[in-house]
Amino acid sequence: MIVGNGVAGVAAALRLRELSPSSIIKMVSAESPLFFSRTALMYLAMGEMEREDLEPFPTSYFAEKKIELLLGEVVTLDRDNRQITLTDGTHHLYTKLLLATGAIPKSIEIEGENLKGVFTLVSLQDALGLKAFINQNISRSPSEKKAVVVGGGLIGIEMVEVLLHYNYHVTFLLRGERFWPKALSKIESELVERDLEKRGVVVLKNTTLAAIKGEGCVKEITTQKGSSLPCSLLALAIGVVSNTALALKSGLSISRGIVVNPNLETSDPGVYAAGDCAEVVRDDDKRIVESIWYTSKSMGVVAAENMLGKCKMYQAGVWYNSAKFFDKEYTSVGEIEVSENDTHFMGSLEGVPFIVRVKTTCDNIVLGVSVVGVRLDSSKLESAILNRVTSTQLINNFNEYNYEPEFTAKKTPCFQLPFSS
Amino acid sequence: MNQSLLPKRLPVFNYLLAVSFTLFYYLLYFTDLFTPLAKSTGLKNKWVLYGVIYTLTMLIFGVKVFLKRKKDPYQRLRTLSVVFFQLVFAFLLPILLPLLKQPEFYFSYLWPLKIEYFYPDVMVGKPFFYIIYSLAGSLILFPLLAFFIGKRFYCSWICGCGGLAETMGDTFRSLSDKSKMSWKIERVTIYSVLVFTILTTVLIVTPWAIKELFHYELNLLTQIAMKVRHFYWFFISAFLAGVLGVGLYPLFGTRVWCRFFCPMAALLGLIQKKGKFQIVVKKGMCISCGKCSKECEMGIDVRYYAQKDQSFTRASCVGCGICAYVCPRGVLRLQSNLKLESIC
Repeated sequence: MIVGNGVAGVAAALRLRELSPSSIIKMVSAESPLFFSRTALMYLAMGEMEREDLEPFPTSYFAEKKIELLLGEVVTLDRDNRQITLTDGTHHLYTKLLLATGAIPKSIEIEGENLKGVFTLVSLQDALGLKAFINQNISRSPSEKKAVVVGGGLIGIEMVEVLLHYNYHVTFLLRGERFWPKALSKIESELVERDLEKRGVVVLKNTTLAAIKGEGCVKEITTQKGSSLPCSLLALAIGVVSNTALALKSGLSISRGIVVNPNLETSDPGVYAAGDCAEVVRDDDKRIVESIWYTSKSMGVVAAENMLGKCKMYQAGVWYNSAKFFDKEYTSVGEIEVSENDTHFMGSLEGVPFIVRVKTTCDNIVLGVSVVGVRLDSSKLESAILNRVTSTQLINNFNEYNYEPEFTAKKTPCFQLPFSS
Repeated sequence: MNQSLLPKRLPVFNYLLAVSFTLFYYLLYFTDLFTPLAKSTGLKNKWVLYGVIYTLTMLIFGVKVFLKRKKDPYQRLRTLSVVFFQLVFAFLLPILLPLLKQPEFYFSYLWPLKIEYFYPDVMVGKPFFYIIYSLAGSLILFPLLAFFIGKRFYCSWICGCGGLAETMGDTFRSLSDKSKMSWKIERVTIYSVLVFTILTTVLIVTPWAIKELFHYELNLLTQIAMKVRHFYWFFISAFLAGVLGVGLYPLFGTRVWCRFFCPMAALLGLIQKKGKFQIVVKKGMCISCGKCSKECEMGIDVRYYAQKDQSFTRASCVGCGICAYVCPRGVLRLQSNLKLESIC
């Protein structure tokens, strides 16, 4: 039994069926009848894609694999009797249970957060609600189409893109010194911020939301610096937290996420957790919640293997990550924590600058590569890192990593001085 | 992905457009309605008029598409190429050649697409160069190119049918049906047409060859051949390629002919499957968003391969490169896996 049909739940279901042709596999979701790509919600909100386009597998695929799909919320998890109860009153017994309930938006805990016109972009309902609201107000005058986006991370910039698509004036509030400081260096963020400014976005750094004003609908927000920003739409993208409500209610061990051991087992040996809802252990014994598509997919697979009795350890830690900032594609391979002796290389593609940040050991061995604005072959970068190449070797062979379309002019980036804050 | 075969929730405008296109082609092929118009503008016949309209349409929409995807060098070159081949080889040259005492010849169309270029009565009167070009082109050059760089060299860089699809048809490209059922149907229909094309060719060539070699006239066979030949023209060239091919653009996307019926596509597609062209997938990077599958005009479920880290070659892939262009994470890359690294 799998609770949740996001990428972790589905990866687990498919892996379970692959390894066990005869077990009964059921997957229940409260969000949508069919698995959809959450990473594409912004395209749904922009009207570029329909809900059906976002579904990687049709209903018939799951039917073929004899994976039963259920729509409903799990009201109780009775671990003693090994059964779950849904909103419609049905009970389902399980031998092994996987909780893949994902994440929910972090609450900003400010009054007014539930006014009309305040949106997050995490669930399918969020995306459809945002699109509907925007379309209701589509013929408003430009002075009325002002939006504020709070949160300088991946979902924040996606919401900025959605709002610009509908010709809103956007003010982007970043809590810190720059956009996405967790993953991008000052130089990388600057590239993105300059692009945002060129598109007419007002970027306010070191600014947080203090108050939300409005009656029924949001009218205005105030920052901690005291300035007021009128807005008819407020987008909150301050992060997500694990959806642990069900686990908590049923007495499982919870911290920031559902606590699991390296085999993705919870405090109850018959119950597993994978994806954004799980809190995993890293090599350095630190516990983290990884809310990334790629790691959730791997976790689903590992959880499935453990559910069938194969003892598999999940190796926490990001190997790949990716995103897109308007026209600039972002990829990272390996370690990407920003440090002072990272080397930045800058190049130009079709007249637009791109940046490659290489993180190395003191002996110049590459630990990780972060790329903004150019397509590189991530598998080759991964091999390079595993083969312990130096950053000089990497840059000298830059064209080998080229993944841009054919006929792209080959360009080796110019060497840039090591970044020092 | 939508699993039904019928167009879903399309605006009424699309249906109106489909009717208009279909009507236009019906009138063009099966009536003389356009002849007076052609003559009054000083053009030789309705086919030249058609050529003018077709080429002009491709030029205008070619500019639009070029600007739309101008940041991608592959898209720029491909758009330029397809417009160039239409303008020069499918329009201007065939008009100029007779003025230079040469036969009216379309160098960008060969057998099996232009079945006439293997008909003895069409080719034998022409200078030797044209006969060699037709035979060597169809049997040696095109297959070799399809093997080494994929059938895309023709289907999305040269062919005029493809050219219209990529330019005027760009708006309709995501309407192609992605269902497994469509894939099953297209494999039956396209190879059936190829077989029919080969049989028709053999049927036309055989009595001629017997007559040339043995001076024996197979009257019955010749009669049957004539009927089949006419049926081929009517059903394949006029109805499927023209009327349905373009008529269905606004309902089923731009490549209905290419995907379900074109014998050149069938032949080169088979060669491509064994060849060096493939779409490479960056392992572990696909986020299953579905943009690739949505934009694929051939109805290939590209996402299916991308999300399971599988580089692939499909016989129907015309190498337009749009899947790679729209991918928000740069997961896909069109490649000809030749040893010479210096070639792109």
